Amino acid sequence: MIDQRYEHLTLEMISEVLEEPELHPEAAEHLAACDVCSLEHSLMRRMLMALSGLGEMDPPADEWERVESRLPTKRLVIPIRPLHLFRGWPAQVAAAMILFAGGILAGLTFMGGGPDDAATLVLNGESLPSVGDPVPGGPETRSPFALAQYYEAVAGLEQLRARPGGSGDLLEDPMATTERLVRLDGLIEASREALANSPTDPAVNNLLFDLIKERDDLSLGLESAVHLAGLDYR
Amino acid sequence: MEEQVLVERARAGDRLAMSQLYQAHSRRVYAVVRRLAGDDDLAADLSQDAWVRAFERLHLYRGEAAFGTWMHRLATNVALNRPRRRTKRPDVEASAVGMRTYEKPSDEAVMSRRVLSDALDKLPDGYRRVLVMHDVEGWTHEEIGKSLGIASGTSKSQLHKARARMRQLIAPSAAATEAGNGVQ
Repeated sequence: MIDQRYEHLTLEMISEVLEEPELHPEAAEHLAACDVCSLEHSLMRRMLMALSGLGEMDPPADEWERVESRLPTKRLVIPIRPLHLFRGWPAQVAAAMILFAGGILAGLTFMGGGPDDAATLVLNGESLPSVGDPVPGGPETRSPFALAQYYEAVAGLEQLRARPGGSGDLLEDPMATTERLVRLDGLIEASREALANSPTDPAVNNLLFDLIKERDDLSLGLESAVHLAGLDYR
Repeated sequence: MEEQVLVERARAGDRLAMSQLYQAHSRRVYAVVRRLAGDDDLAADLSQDAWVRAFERLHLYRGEAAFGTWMHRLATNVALNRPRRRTKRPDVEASAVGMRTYEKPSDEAVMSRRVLSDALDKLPDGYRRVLVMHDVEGWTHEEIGKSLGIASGTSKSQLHKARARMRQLIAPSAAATEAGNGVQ
């Protein structure tokens, strides 16, 4: 496309040549012979390079506050889909374990390891506690009673893990898997209670998420294994 | 903390995790929204909408791409799906898009981020969308066509017109000079 007034390439054609030079051999030939068009070609190429290098931009200073004000009410705990594995006597075991684990978590949270300890862990870049970790903050910050309860619960889970069905083939010992689910459920409930009293504690939050993930993974695995085998443990 | 962990926690409603995700990506998100919007006030609204929508729909994020990529695409879609302006700006209704300007603008004029941003704001919506998506964000014509519901050929022709208009906007004084003098 030649601008007939001046016998130069139009800006659109120069853009097309930049994009697909092989489709416009005549224009490319003109570019090679015309200093004016060659200059324009070079300028447009520089403009495109500058456009591709445009960087990030600062949003309005109050943007996060505005976004946050439009979010739904604060909700720290994942709604857990109901498990249908514990009808009958296992439900009684679950209830007992919830009471047991509730004591453990309450001890962990309120007997020496509050939000300040957890925040310190995060600020120092240390990993937050998981199910198998020692008590955050070190044994010296906990009461002997809470420590004993905590380690007993962790040891119980570790024993279950070591048993067939605790990990690996879920159908090899489904009751062991079910028992492990019950223990995890108890710990989840207890950590929820702890969160109700200390909702911003990142250590307790993190522990809760680890527990929920472990419980859900195990539950899904067991459900699919039972489904595949055509069994029903309910 | 790993971003995937932040996403999991944000998905559960943890405001601290949401805030951290926002801090990590807000500048990139705002940049694309602002350039597509062509207007500060509109961009502020669209950027907020994008973040609120992202946190509301975080359950749809499956982790196949990085969170930043997902968020960037979501923000782009929010900006593209907004209603178009009702009125056209008289200063961009060029009757002779593509006509040549023969006076060389300074390198500073071509390269200045401010000049480029101002020129982008003055482009008609359709031109600006295609040019930002292709020349700034690196989308292909096929991706643009799919996103805007137009043929890829249409995207190409819009792009060339947009570049020509952009080039004129960067050196308006040169265009005026051309009208009086001409070349050759």
